[in-house]
Amino acid sequence: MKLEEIRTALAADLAEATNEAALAVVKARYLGKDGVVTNLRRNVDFSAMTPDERKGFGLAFNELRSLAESELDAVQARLSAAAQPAPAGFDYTLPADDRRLGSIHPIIATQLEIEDIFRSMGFSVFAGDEAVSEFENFDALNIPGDHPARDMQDTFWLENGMVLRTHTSSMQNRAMRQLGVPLRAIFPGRCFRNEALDITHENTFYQLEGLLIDRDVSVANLIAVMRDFLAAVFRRDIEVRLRPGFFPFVEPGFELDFRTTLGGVRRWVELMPCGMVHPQVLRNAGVDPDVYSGFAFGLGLTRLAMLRHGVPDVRLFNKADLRFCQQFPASF
Amino acid sequence: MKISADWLSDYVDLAGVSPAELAERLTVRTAEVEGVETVTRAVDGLVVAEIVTAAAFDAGGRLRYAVTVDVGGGRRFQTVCGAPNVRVGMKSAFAPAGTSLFGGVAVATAELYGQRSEGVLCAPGEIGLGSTKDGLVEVPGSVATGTTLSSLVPATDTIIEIDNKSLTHRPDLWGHYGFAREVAAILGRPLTPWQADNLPDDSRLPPWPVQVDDPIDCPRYSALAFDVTHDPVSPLWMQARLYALGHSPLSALVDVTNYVQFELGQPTHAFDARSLASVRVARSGIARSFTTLDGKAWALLPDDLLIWNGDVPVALAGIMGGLDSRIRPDTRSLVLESATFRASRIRGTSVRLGLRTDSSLRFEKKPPPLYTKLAAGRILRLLREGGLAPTVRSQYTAVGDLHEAPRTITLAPGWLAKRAGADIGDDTAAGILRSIGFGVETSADGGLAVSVPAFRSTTDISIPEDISEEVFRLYGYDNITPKAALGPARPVAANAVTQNQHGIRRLLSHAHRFVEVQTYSWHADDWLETLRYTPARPLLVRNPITPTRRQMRDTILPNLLAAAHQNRNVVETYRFYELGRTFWLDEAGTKHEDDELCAVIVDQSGASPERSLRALQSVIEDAAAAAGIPALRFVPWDGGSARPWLQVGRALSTLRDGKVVGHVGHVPDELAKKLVNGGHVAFAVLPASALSGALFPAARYVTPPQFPGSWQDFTFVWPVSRGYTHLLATLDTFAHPMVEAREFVTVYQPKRSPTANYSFRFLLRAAERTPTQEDLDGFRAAFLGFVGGAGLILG
Repeated sequence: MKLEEIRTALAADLAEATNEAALAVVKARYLGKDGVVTNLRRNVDFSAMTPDERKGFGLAFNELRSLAESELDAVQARLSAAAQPAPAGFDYTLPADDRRLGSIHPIIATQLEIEDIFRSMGFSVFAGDEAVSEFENFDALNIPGDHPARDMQDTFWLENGMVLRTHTSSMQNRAMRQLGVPLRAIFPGRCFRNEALDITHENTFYQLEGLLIDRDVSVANLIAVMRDFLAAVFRRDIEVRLRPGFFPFVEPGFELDFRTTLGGVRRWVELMPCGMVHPQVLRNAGVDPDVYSGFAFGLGLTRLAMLRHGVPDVRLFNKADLRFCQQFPASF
Repeated sequence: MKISADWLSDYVDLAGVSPAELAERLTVRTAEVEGVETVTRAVDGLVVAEIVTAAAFDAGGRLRYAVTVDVGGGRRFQTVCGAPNVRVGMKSAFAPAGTSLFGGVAVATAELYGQRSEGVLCAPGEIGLGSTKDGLVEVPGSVATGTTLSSLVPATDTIIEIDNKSLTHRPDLWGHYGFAREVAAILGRPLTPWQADNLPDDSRLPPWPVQVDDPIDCPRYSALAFDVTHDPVSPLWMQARLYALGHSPLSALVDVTNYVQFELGQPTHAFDARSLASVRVARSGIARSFTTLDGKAWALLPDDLLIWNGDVPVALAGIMGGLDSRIRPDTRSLVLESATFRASRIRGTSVRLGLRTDSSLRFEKKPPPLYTKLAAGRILRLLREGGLAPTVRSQYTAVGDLHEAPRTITLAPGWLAKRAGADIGDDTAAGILRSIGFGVETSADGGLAVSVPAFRSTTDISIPEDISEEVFRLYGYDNITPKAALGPARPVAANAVTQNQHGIRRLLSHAHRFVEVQTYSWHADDWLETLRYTPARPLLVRNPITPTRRQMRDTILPNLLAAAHQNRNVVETYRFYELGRTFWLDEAGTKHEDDELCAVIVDQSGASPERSLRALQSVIEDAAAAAGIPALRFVPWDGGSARPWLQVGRALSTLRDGKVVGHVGHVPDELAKKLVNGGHVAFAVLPASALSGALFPAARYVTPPQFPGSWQDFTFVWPVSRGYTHLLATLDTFAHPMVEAREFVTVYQPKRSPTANYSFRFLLRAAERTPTQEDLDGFRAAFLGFVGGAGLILG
């Protein structure tokens, strides 16, 4: 055999050697006492060669032998690595320790997501008092003194004359005064209404109020901001529409619907009350309505959490029942 | 509120507009439509018949009549009828054989009790004009015999249900006419003018005596006395419309006031003039009982508003008339009241009594005073057209202003377009406004001078923004192209409080595997009693859900201990927290509120209580570390505050900057036994603000020392009763330049020994070199000297 042929044949044999026994056979075939490589040298008649030929053969032979050795070693190493190591002494397939993560309350988890979206849209986030003056909750918002919302059956009144805020709109006045205008901010938080409990009514719930005040803010701006926000919430393009709605602190006031498919039918679903901030509300906060305009919107965080998680009964949120709360894995 | 499409079409042409389309357009332009329902009536083939003979006979113990009816054109039919109101000369609806009744029952010629029956005289329930089936439909005598029923009543109608909440600010929309105006504007079709008779102002007639004692509660009262010749049934179309709205027709005099209420939105009331000599509007003055025309007695308070005949109350103003002055079958002389009452007064009384009527509902929306006049004129006209020939006996007498003079609101040129963010020209706006009854002129500066019609004057239109709503909604919000709100690209103010709290939540829920829960913001008194806890100065609710929920929570822990109790059979070991608001008053009575973090670990597995305690300490320390707050410290709680979950020896105070900010510990064993099924309940409570620091604390980089240091271990035998804190305080008094750090390693307490071995290690470092044996010996000598002096015992 010529040197080149041996080299090719070795490569082919090594490729087929998939275990250590097969490799031993290959090794014997080439480097053994009666191996191809060994015999090559044994069968050469050096006497018939010139010194230069002898030297040339010697170099080529050595090269072939060391190549064969190193390739055999490499295959040997690969096969040894694939072999089973000593037992670890434990079951590698057991579950991770402490595998149950805690959870963030589903309303708060919803709030976190909404906050992130509004922050990305240039809104700041502020909390506010939950027990507020009658002024902040009603008068500042242009809600007349004889408005039904002020009745005892709708509002929790406190012995000191304050109220438990019935909506996060109670933050509007304070926010405009303390933060000034122009202003883009949201105010998430707990609200209270004195109503009888059933599967859709709670006396304790969360809302998120938003306010954008600047020069020349228009209805067209409101629609765009609401649409873009909802697209981020639902992670798809959203079709929205406004229709007339009435709230004393906005003029005009709107109900914002979004289009979705429910039970196989495309329909409009009412989601957020909103509107252009009433000039009296601006004036009440020391903002000149001839210079500034803006819009406000309200989002029911509790309701959104119900939609998001398929919670059938609003009363589950305040029960501190672990069977409920721990169902919602913590979110980043 | 229900709106009949048939009724609307008296005033606006609805041809070519499907009910669904009408509902959709009303929803986006005017008010939310909640539902659309088709009403059908079995009128095809039915005719008006006059009963010409009615012979009673015994049908197996029941009274029946063999009846002959005349259907005009000389045609007569035989039938059998058992209705109590059957009488000769009466006109009713006859369904001849071959027709169908409401619900699909086919009418056929038959033999009944041996009598021939060639058709059916119909009860309202058999046509779809009412619910009753045991009396015949009555058709006014003025209708010609043989008239087809389908010419009197349409076979179908569409009832549109409007969401009342979307009408709270629109008193003009509490009747059909207001909706007809909206629909006309939406469709761009003409609105038929209001059809009413002139009200008598003839000075030869006497005024009707009206006295209003309380003009605030009754800004407008008008009255008119008239006589009628008889009180027949209402025209069939009126009966049909009232029934379609859910009202049973009674007689022309009673029905007409209801009809006009639903048509215009103005409630009126008709008194029998025999029980009324004059009218006075005044409050009750004293608590009294008053019986309304439905026969129910109500307990009134002094402030409730009444209509009086002299000293006798005759009506609960704006809500319901009285029993004694009601219209009776023989009433021929009436006094018509058409008034406006103060919304909050009517609402107050009606809500308190639970007596909510169509009338009170409308007065709560502040109907315009002008309606009092429109309604009265309309009633006269409908009675006249119904053949009752009303004869007026008094002038139309009114107290209070109509507020008819239009007010003008001016809009700067282009203001509407700017506000909408859409290209709405002032001309377009003017056209829209005129279509709903506003007057529009060009103002001095080239803008719009808009005059507000009297029917929109009471509540909803007073500023330019109100005008903008009218224009925008009818222009169509869907015709406004959304436009991104541009603003300067600058960072928004960060709210460190909110962000920090979210960080605490993530730490507890993610790293420490706590479940976040929420509980109500008030204490439960009965539970506080179980815990034996009395808040010092609680903020109190005046109208709590129940009397035992009047104290706002000044700490969340009681609620969480209740949750610990409620969840005891769910799992063996559980850890949860709430981060929420607490409330209290200070000595001066000023309200304070703050967010509190309250975490609880319940372990019913028999594990060491120490584990839960350390876990809670870790939570607090980790939160502090994440917020970049220098280490918090825990010292034994020394008693002194009346919190039953704290017990000396079982609680630590948490210190920040040397000040007590909260507590960690175990509830006393006795309490734990009540709360859970054995095991322990550990808690940590502190204000969230105690864990707040910089949002992104930037610790300064320190170059790692170039030369290695040396760790030296020491173990001290120390009484457990004095504790780690005191040992640490003792060690703190030792200072040596080589000590770079000191770490607590472990503690070992041999069984039944009062002392334990506390191991610490010290990291020693020499400046600019690896510590030499000499350095270490020097330290050791100094430290042993300190140990001896401080009375410490090395283990």
